[in-house]
Amino acid sequence: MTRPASSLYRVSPVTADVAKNFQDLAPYSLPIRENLETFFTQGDSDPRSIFGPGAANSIRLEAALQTFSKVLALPATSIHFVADRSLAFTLSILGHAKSGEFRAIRYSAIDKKDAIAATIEAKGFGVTLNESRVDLSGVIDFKSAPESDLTKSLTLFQLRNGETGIWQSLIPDGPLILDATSLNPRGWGNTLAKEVISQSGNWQSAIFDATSWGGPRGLYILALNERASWRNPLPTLDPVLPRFGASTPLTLMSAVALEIESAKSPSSIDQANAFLREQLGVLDEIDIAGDATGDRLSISILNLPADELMRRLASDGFTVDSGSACSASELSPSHVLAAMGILTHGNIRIRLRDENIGSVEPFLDSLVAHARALRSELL
Amino acid sequence: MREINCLGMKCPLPIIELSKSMKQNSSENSFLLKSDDVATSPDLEAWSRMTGNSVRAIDHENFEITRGGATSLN
Repeated sequence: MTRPASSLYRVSPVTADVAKNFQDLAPYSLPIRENLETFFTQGDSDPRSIFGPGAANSIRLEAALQTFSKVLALPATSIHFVADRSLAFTLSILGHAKSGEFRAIRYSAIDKKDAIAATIEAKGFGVTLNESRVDLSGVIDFKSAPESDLTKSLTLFQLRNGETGIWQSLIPDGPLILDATSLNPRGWGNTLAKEVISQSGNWQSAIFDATSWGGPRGLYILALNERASWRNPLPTLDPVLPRFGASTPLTLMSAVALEIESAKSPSSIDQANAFLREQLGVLDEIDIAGDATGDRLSISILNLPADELMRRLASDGFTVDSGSACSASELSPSHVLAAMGILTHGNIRIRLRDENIGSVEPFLDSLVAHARALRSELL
Repeated sequence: MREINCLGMKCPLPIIELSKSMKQNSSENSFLLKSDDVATSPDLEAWSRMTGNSVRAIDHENFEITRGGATSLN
């Protein structure tokens, strides 16, 4: 019998210690930090350790597995832990391509770059690639790709875009690889992903990212449908399925974060999201991607340098991300915004965690004031 | 046609220089924006939609801008 996961994780209430940090990867909340410390002090001092020996570790990992299985609606036997996102996409996409079941792979112009890279690599297994366009509202038009036999086509289906927060509402026909790396399990019970996984036999594999529920970077869940044809694309001596480098402490920490996040109500951040979108209408010539749901907003303001805007917001204590070339570590603009036809400069991305309307008001005031001031200085 | 030379400038300066020039030269209708920044083409498409001005790509570094009208970047 499996013990309740929370009794092993020492879960305590979330504090608002990340309230002004709107970046995608923010410091961990207090209960997650406390639990990670516990995991290390109980014998996993090496964060790189892979499923170390010992009964205590086995029990904790089994509890974590049950948590992932229950919350994500996945059979426990389908779940594999992977340490790296590119590796998760590579294993999934190339593993299906290697099976020889598929003649084509469909993907969209707004897929994650490492997913697109793995898809392009799949050409080595003899499949053809079909790229689908996306419209201004972020909806993927799978019909825009060249016609192919859908029963022999594998579709990389990004359920939700991590940059804009946009959901795809239409499930494409045919076998699917579900990119669920940007799903927040808050309100998970009603999501399309859960519906697809629990009711559709068409999913071949699904990839989840622990950072989407406030967990650590370095823990990805690769679920392989037992009915899917999949061959390990990597050279290995393990005849079944090798382990993919996931650390025990990070795996346990991810399960704690998932328990905490899935227990929260989605309503307050939805309200904060809608409030910000409505109030930002006071600035003209502004693009806000997507609809007013969930924890993410991507805001592009015409004639503004994002790097300077970010510096001024930071001086008020607000840290945000950006998809603009002038502010990010990359020197090319966001391929997601460009594919959608949304302005790529003057872009800031924010991620809401425990916010409500009241808590985002100071950020809104700061953003509007700095955007107006910057524009008047530049034009 | 007024030329706006933004070669060598990085985003968002080409779009800001274009906006400034159109504001300062309100009697002129046509502008030639020269820019070799990779973000200029997608941003001009969005800029055209937001401002109602038209853009025609002559080549990958030269863009003809007209107040009002239809956009053709492809």
